[in-house]
Amino acid sequence: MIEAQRGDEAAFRLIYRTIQPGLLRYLRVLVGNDAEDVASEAWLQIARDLASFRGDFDGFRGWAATIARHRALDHLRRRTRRQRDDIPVEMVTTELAAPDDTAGGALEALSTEAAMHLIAGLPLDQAEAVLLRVVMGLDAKTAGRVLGKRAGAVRTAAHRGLRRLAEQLAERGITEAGRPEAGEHARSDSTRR
Amino acid sequence: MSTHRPRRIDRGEAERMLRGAPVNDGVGADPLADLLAAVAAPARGGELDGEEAAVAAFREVRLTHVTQPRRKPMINLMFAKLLTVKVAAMAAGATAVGGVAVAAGTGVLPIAGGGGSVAVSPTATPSAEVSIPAIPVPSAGASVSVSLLDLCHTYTAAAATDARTTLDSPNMRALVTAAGSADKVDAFCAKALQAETGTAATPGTTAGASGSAGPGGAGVGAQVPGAGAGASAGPDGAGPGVRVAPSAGVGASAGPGGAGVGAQVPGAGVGASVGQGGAGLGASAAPSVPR
Repeated sequence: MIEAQRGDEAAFRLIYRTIQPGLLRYLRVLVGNDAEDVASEAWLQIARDLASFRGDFDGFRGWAATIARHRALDHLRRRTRRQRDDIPVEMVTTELAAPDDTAGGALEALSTEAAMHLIAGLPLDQAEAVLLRVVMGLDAKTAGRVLGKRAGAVRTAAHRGLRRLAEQLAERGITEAGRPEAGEHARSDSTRR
Repeated sequence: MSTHRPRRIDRGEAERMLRGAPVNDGVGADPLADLLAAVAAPARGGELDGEEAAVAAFREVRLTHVTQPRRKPMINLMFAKLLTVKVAAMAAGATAVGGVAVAAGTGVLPIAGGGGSVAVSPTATPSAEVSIPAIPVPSAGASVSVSLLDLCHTYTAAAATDARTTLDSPNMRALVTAAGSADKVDAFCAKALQAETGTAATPGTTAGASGSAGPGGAGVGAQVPGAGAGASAGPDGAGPGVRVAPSAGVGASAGPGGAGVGAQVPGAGVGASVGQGGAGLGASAAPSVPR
């Protein structure tokens, strides 16, 4: 972190490689297919403002997520203004983040893509909370700062999101063990718990 | 299979999962944990495509930072003088580079330059070109900061009586430096003042044949101490960008300029007009140019 702030390019690359996948996946839920564009806007700003950032790498992840989120909201506002006026950002966001119909089929493999589709199907606040925590690796407090909420609210949203995901996984016929061959063992194992 | 009921996840377990800790003591797969692991999986093909662009931006910023300190004393002096001449608020002037302008700034994030009260890109010289609708007209105007314009106004007024003496005064040193030499101040100011009007009408700004550091990028920003605003404009390799920060006092925001060859840059217009308007003008350089 410090190396990068001093201008070490290799350190910056390392940071990029560490953060970018999560950032991109988070943005995908916010802005869909424009995630790449918004991510590169975010990185421009991160590169520019890196020197003024104060904190450790945990803090940096939160900082980067905040920048990305702002860029995403800007992007949505811009797009909204171009399309229709006076539609709250939230509505558009929800609309855009609606899950793809293809989500179900690919789930068996539980690819990153399929998992993202499922999460994108959650209500936006839950999806954001889950992604910031799991993908960006933020704790509840930092995620709360990114979202402008209290840590408790983020925690609740994330928990609801997880519960909902678990329900969906079950509905889609994936058992406790998560594999088609999962048998009675896995199930009885879970009921014991 | 849909008869299976999902296992109830309690808060403690949810917390563990969110932290990425193994659930079920790591024994046996849990579909939800699998899902979370998949989402947090390492980069896949294409996800790191933007690396070079990001690194290029990083390198660019680095260049700017390296060259800045050298000019700082002069700049500080200049602003110290100007502030005593009751400059209440200065707006940010900004210029753009190339055809792509990525403007951003919500006012929430720290402005580049941090504690310094002044951020001036090293190429705030007549090396930029202003292209007024499609016809490139070499001009100093686009990248001349508000403060330099002020100096030009002062100079032009005083030059009517005695140009030589005027330029010798320390106040004018910045102007002479920007123009290149005392002889060139006349031409410099003529162009700058001429371009001032043009800039306010949002001409497209293109990168000039600048030989100095921070290729093509020219941004001049003024910042009022304590106001927490500022401007910085800097290019980056792939998509040169400009960021326009809001002027003092008002939570103005600058939106992205979008992309396109020969793009117009809203930020340029704002910088000039707000500067002349003085304090308290909330400008938004949001995308005024549809494309």
